Amino acid sequence: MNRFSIFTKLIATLLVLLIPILLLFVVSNRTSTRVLTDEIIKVKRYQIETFASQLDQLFFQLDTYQKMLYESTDVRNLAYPDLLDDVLGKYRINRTVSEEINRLAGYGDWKAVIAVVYPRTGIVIKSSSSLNALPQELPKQDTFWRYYTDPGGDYFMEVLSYPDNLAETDEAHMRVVLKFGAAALRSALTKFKANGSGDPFLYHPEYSPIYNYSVNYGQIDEFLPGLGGIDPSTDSGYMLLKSDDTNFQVHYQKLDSLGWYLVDYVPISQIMAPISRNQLMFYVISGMLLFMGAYLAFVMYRNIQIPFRKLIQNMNLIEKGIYSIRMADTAKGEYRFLYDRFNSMASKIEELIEDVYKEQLRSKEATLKQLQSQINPHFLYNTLAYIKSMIELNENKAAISMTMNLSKYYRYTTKTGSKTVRLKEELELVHFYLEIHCMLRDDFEFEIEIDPRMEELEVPRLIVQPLVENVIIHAFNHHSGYGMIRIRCWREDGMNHVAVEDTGTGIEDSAIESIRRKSHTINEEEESGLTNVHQRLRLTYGGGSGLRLSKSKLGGLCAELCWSDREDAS
Amino acid sequence: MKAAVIGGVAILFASLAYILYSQFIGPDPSDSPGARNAELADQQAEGVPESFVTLKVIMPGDLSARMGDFVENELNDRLVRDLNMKLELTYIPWSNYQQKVELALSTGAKYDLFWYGAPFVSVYYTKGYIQPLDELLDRYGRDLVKHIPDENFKMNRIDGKLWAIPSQAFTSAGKFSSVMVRQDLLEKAGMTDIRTIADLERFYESMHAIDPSYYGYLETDRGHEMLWRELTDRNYSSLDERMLFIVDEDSGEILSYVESDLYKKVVQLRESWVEKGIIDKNLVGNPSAKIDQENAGKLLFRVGAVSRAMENLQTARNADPNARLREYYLAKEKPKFIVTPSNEAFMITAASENPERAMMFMNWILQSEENYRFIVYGVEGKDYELEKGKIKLLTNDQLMYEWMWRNKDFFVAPAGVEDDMIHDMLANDENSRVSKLFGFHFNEASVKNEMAQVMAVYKEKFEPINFGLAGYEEHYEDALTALKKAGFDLVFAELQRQFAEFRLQR
Repeated sequence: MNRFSIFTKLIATLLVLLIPILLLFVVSNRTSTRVLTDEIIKVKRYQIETFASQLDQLFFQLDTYQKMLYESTDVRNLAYPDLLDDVLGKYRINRTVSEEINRLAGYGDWKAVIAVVYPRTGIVIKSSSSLNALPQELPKQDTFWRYYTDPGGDYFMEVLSYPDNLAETDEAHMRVVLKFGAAALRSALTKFKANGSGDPFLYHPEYSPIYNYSVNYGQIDEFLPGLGGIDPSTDSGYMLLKSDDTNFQVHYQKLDSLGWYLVDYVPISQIMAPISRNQLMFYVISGMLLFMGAYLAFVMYRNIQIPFRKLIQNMNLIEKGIYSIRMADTAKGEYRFLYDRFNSMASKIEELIEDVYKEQLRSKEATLKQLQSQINPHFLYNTLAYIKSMIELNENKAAISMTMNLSKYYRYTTKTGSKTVRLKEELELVHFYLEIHCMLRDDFEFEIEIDPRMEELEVPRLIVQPLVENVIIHAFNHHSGYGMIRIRCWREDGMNHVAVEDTGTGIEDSAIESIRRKSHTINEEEESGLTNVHQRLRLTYGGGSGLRLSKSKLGGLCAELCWSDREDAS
Repeated sequence: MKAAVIGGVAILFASLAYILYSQFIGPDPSDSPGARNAELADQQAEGVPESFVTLKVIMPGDLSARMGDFVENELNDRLVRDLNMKLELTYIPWSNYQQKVELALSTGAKYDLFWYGAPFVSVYYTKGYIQPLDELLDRYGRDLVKHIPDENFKMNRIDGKLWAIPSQAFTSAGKFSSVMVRQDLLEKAGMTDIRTIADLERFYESMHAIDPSYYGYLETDRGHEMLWRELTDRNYSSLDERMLFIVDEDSGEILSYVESDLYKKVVQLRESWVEKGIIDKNLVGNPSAKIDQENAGKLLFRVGAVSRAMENLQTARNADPNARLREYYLAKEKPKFIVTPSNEAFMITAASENPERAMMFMNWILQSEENYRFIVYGVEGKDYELEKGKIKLLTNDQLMYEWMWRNKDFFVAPAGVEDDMIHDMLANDENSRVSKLFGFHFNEASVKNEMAQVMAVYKEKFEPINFGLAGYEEHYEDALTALKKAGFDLVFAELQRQFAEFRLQR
C-alpha cells in the first residue's frame, strides 16, 4: 500500500482542479493584457502623431511666413536703401516691414523670432527685441531648420538668402531668418504633457534631447542608449525598454520638418499594475488553496490513515496468532473507541483461546487418569477374582452380572471418540462403576436420580465419575458400617446441578475448606481428581460454574457440580 | 504546528486584504498630478481651499528656460501647498502683447489674470473684459491692502468700483519725464551730470566724436514729457501715452497737445536731433533695432522711468561691464507729478473661472517677504543669493518681472547697483505733487469711432512728425486738417466734458 496514498491523492486532485483554472486564468489574463497593450499603443501613437503633425504644421507655417517675407516687395526694397531717397518713404517701408514681421510672429501660439537681415547695410528688422533674439553670427550657408546649441538657449533656425544660389553668402542682399527657441518647444511639450500624455521629449542622436519642463531626467537618460537603436529610415514606431523593473513602451515619431524624433513613453508596468495585482492576488489565493488542501490532506493522513494502518497491522498480527498485541497509542475521537474495542476484543480472544487450550489439556489429563484407573490392576484383579470365586461358587448370575458390568464399563470408558457425552451416558458409566464396586465390597448402596430434562445434556466426559471414585476411595475405605451414595441431578434457576452425597465418616468443616481450597487452586504438580473436575467445568462453562463442597445431610460429604445451562457456553 | 498554520493563514488573509484594498489606504503611483496635488493639499493647514485649480495667467515677454522650470516645479509645489493651485503662464512677446491680450480678452479665452499698464484699466473696463474686485479684495486681499497704499487703489476705481490691483507700490512721481543716461560714458565725455537739453546734445557730440557707432536717443513715441520740463515754464502732464491731450497742472485745464506751441517746440527739437544724428532715421521705423542698440551697449540716453536705471543696468553691463546708469530730471527745481502711483495693473478677466484664487494668488505674493522673493527672484542659493543686503542673481533668466510687484516694504536692490542710484529712486517722490489727472479715466465709448479714426490719422500723419522725420512746417497743416476731419474736436470736447465732470466730483 502506498504510504502517501490519501495525501497524494488529495494533492493530485487539488492540482488537477487548480491547474486548468490557472491555465485558463493565465490565458485570459494574457489576452486582456494584449488587448489593453494594443489599445495603449494605438492611443499613444495617435497622441504623438497628432502632436508631431501639429509641430510639423507649425514649422510648415513658419516656412510659409519665410516665403511670404522673401517674396515681399517692401522687404526686398529695403535691401537697396540708396534707391529710396525719400526719408518718409523709407520710414514707412521700414515700419510696414517691421509691422508685417511682428504680425506674422504674432500668429498662433508659437513664439518664433522672424527677422530680415540686410548684410550690406547692417540693418536687422526682427520680431523680438530680446537680447538673444538672433545669434551673433548667422550661418554662411542657407539652412533649413538646423539645430544650434547656445548657452543663451538652444534653437532651431532656418535662413533663406536673396538672391539665391550665391557662391558667397556674404554677398546676399537680404536674408530671411526664422529662429525657433528650444524653450518654446519645451513649453509645447509641457503643455502636451499637461493634456494627459506621458513625458514627451524631442530626441536626435547627435544632440542632447529637448525636454519638457517637468521631465523625469533620470528616466529619459536610461532610455537614451536604447533610442540609439532607432532605424534612421523609419519614421515612427515603438520599442520596449526596461528600467528599474518597470517596462516602458517608448514611442517615437519623426518630425519631417526638423528631422528630430518626438519621443514619449508609457510605463506599461504601471498601467498594468492593477491587473498584475489581481494576478498576484489570484496566485496567492491559488497558493492558499493548495496550501490548505495540502494541510487538509496531511491532517487526514495523520488522523485517519496512520491510526487505520496501525489497526490493520495489529489485525494482521492477531490473524497470525499473536493475541497479546494491543493498540499502544492513545488515539483521539472515534479512534480511541475503536482502539479500546480492538484491545478488549484481542484480550477476549486471547482468554478464550487459552481456556479452550487448557480444557483440552485437562480433558486429556482426565482421560489419562481414568485410563490409569481403568487399568488399575487392583480393580481389574479384584473384579476378575470376584468373577472366579462366583463361578467357583456357581453363582453364575453374579458372575454374569459382574462380567456385563465390567464389559459395559470398559466399553464406555474406551469410547474416546468425542469429548462430550450426554449426562445420561455419564450416569450410566457411574452406575456400572458403582455396581462393580457394590458387588466387590457389598457394604453400600446407591441411588441415582435424574431430572428427565437433563438426560440429554451434553457434559464433558468423566465429569461425575471422579467424584464417585473419590467417595469409594476416601469415604468408605475407613467405614465400618453400611454406606449409601446418592446422586442427584436437578435443574434450578437455569443452573444444572449434579450432587454426589455419601454417608461416609463425615468430615470437618475445616477439612472441607482445605479440600475446596485445594481443588480451586491450580497446582500442576499434584492435581487431585476434584481439582481437575472443577477446572474443567470452569473452562467449559465459565465463571459461575464449578465444584462446591458441603456437608451432606446423609452425614458425609456432598460434592456438587453446578454449571449454567447456556447453549453458547458449550 | 497549529499556531503556525493559523499564523500562516492569517498572514495570507492579511496580505490578500492589503492587495484588495491598498488603493484605498495608500497613495497610488498612477494617480494624476492633480490628484497628487490635491492630496498634498489635504495635508495643509486650514485656510487652504479644498478644490484644486489651475490659474491661467498672461505675462509679457518670453518664457525663459529657468522660469519654465521654476514654475513647473518649485513654484507650483509651493502654490499647491499654500493655495492648492498651480500656475499656468502664457507668455506673449512684448511686440504684440496688446494685440494678443485683447484678442484673448475679446474672445473670452479662459484666462484668469493678466498684467497691463494702468491706462488700459479704463479701456478694458469699458469693453467689459474685466471684473470688479472690491469683494474679492475684502475677502482675500488682506496683505495687498497692507502693503499697497490706499492712494494707489483709488487710481483703479471707476464708477466706485475697483477694477485692477495696482501691483507696484514704489516711488513714481514724474515717471517718463526723466532721462536715463550712461553715466560712465557721460563721465568719459568729461561731464558729471545732465541739467539741460544742451547737455544731452553735447554728450552725444562728444561721444560720437570718440566712437561714431554710439547711438543717441532711443524713444520716438514717449519722451515728450522729459523735454517739457525745459521747453515750457508751465507744468503739464500727459493724459496717456497717445500724446493727444495734456493737462495744465496749475490751472487744471485740459488742452489739445498737438495744437499747442509746446508740441511745435518738441517736434522741432526732434527734427534737429534727426539732423544731428542723435535720432537715426534708418532705425526709427524699426523698434526692435533701437532696443538692439541698447542691448549692444551703444545707447547714450533714453527716457527714464524712476527705476529704469536699476532695471536696465544688467542689460547694459552684459554689453559693457563698466556700464553705469543714472536718471536725471531736466529743470530739476520744477515739481514732479504723480499721475499713476502704480503703472502696473493686474486685472482679473470677466471670463475667469477662479477669480477668488487669482486674488488669493496676488495676495500670496505680498503675504511675506519669503513669498515675494521666491516668486520674483526664485530659490535662494540657486537663482539668487543675498550679498551685503543686495540681491545677486545667479542666473540671467528672468522670473516674475521684479518691477511688476516692486514694493517699498520688500524692496531689495540688486547687487552692483550703486547707492546713489538707489537713493535717487527712493528719494524720487520728494518735491512731488499729485496730478490733476489722478484717478481720471477717459471713457471713450461715446466717441470710439472718432477715436479710432483719430488714432489712424495720428499714426500715419503725426508720428513721422513726432519722430522728427517729417518737417513740422511742411507736414503739420495737412496732418492737423486730417486729424480734425477724423473727428478730433469731438473727441476733445467729450474729454473736456468728462474731465470737467470729474473735477466737479472732486
